[in-house]
Amino acid sequence: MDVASLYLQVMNNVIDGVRGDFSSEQLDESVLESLASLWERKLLQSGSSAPERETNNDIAEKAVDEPGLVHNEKVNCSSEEQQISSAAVKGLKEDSAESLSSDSDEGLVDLCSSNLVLAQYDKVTRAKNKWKCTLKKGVMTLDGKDVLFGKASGEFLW
Amino acid sequence: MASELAPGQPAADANAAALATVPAPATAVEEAVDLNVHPSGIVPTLQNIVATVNLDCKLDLKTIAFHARNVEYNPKRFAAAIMRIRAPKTTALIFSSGKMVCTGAKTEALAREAARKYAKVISKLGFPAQFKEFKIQNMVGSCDVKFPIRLEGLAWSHGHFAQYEPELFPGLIYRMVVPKIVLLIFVSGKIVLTGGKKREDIYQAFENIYPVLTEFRKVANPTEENPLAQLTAGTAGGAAAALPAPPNK
Amino acid sequence: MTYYELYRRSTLGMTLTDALDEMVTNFELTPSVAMKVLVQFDKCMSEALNRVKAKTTFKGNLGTYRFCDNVWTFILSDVTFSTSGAGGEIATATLDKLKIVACDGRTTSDV
Repeated sequence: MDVASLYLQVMNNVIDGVRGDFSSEQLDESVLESLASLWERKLLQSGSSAPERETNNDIAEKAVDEPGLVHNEKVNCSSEEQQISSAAVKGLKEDSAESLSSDSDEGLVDLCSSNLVLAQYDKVTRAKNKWKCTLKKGVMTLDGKDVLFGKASGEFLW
Repeated sequence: MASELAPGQPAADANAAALATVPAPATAVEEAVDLNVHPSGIVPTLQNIVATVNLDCKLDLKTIAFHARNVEYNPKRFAAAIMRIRAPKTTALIFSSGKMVCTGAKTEALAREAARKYAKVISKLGFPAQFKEFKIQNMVGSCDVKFPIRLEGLAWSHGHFAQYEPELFPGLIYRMVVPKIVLLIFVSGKIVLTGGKKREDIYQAFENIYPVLTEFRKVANPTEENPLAQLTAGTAGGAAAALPAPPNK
Repeated sequence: MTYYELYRRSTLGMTLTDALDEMVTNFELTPSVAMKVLVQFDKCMSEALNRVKAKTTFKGNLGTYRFCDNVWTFILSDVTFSTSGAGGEIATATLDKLKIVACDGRTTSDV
């Protein structure tokens, strides 16, 4: 299944899944429809799942650069991102403390990278400087295009 | 004497197996060894130094884990945050009490330099970190005497200090009292020395044990000890002896 | 049953968040309804990803890692990766920089 059709399924499932919530809030079906079309339009604009379409990198990057857009951080994953951002701001102001612990080989570039993988780990191991990880249920945005994986394995040298 | 004592020579090393009974050739020693300090001619190499320091302030490990790089913090499994730096290549265990353990450095100076770097990272994150009571807690050294050792014999004659249970651990554990160092002695001639607070202890322990090791040097029996000799003996009978027929099933 | 909010940071999640933001700003939706939509998204996205069969491998240099609150973050450079789809097709690529954010996939109730 390609990314676009899986995304379409997710959109349909979300819209169907909240129909009850909308009606119990006395919201008209048209509101739900306008949410669906607005979402779809924004997704198309992102160009991330439509190979033929011209890429709009701005939105893809925005997705990475402004994690604060995500509301109501109940799960730590999102708040972690915010913490990183605030660390970055701090670093800009005061001669990044972080670089001390990293041989200064990377700067704030990290946070502007538009290549992002969101996934769940099964196992992460390290032996000396060799890291191995196995991931699953991944959504990747790579050079503005979205790619999904069911399973992934990584080997990294620190 | 000098011909016996050339340490770490690649030429001797490469042929060590084949020439186990032949003294190392008297080629130039790469780096002059002070034979007053190291009568054996062998200087143990420091492999790891464990040092502690007291940063003397309470630390919020989660803040450190979020803001510093290369940190693992999993309080359910271990109470310390684990931070690594690449130079000097070390690992630090950072406790919320402000105590820190730095491991992996190869010299005393590098251990101190690394500990200072960690302290600086932490102070840059806003903690009033001091640098108190820096202390080397343990040093590990190793070396290779380049001859095989009869561990059973050594264990017998030094029963008071030696523990050798090959079914549990292949090395002989020698607990020296002065200096207080634990030595792991392997049949290959490789030695690990641990428990030192200063490098002189490691060196002294090795010099103490070296005459014992030479005493229990395994005298190579060409047909038993030397695989090359065994192979080059090369008669049909020899080959048959080396490769007995597989037992019937 | 709760699901990770992790995927709200994906393109699909961000575009939904944008759309909800806009509608809340225009008083077409209340923030609480918008939240319900996002929670529904967490569930649907997670379930959809269970159906993805493609396998990917990464190799690269690990610049920075972090493990905190059971989340691994890796900042990689010079990454090569290849993905093999269900149909056997293989896509490979190299990237200068890549960030991986991964939640614990073992303890989660979401399957």
